[in-house]
Amino acid sequence: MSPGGMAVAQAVSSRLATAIDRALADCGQAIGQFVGLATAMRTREVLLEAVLRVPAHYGDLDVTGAAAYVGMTGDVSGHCLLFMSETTAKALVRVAEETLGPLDETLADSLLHEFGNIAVSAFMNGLASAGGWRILPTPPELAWTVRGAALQSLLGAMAVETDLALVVAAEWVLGGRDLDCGVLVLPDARGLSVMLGA
Amino acid sequence: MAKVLVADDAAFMRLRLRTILQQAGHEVVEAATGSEAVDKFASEGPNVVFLDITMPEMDGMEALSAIKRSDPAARVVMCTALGQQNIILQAVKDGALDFIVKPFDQARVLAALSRAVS
Repeated sequence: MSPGGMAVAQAVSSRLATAIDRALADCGQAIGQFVGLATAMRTREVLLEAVLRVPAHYGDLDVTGAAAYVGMTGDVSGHCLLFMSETTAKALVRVAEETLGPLDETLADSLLHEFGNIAVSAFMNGLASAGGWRILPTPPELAWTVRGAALQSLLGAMAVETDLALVVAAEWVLGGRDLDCGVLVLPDARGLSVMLGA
Repeated sequence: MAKVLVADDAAFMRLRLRTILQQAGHEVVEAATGSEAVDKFASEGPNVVFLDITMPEMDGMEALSAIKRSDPAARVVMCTALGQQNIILQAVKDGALDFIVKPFDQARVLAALSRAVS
């Protein structure tokens, strides 16, 4: 837990943490099937945190990479951001090229776009199933940016809606290698209320 | 051999599906949006449609309804990363013949196509 971070109340956290564990495990499995390599994704921390302190949980903010944003609608509304460093993104493209041949820039971006879609959708499917909610993603948007900018753009919008954010930080191992890739789940005030009230 | 319309906004997924289907000897027509899928269904007359759900402009569920309105016998396989049961049930209720959840492999795609054309 980060300094100043507030742990999710125990009565809520065990159920919510179980739902998030399951969602991340499903996400890891889907990614593994997509890239054809053994993949594991595990929860590193789940916290309720002040919106302004969220970036402190996501490592080096100056890292360049691909940010896949998906909005959540349905019972649990809000935002989901998957950020992978440029090194991680290039590793994924290389894996795909082994079976499909060389990919031009458009197809490589599309691969990362779909990777974000599949990873985030698998996470939402797992979360919906574990929590008994209906969660629908909006079409994913992919942008090349730095991690800090991707977070700030999302958190700026969040700060208007709520003071607190649900931080879900994950460890991700692909083909035996630790990858620099994180999932940020930010339910809005209504979505957070639904998740914590379950 | 079947003529298959693949509708997905992700060029990479269209490439992946096209590769699988063409290697198995099928003809492939592509659409990048739901509205393009509806147009191509009318103009190309495919045997089967593989339709992604999450697409901009017109999503796959809307496209499914439009295609089924124009041809109630249309054979549509929904192809999406959304595996939530309520979404699958809704698609089947709206006339989808089958549902495959991404990420998919060659065997699952060809099995879905085989079921759809049989």
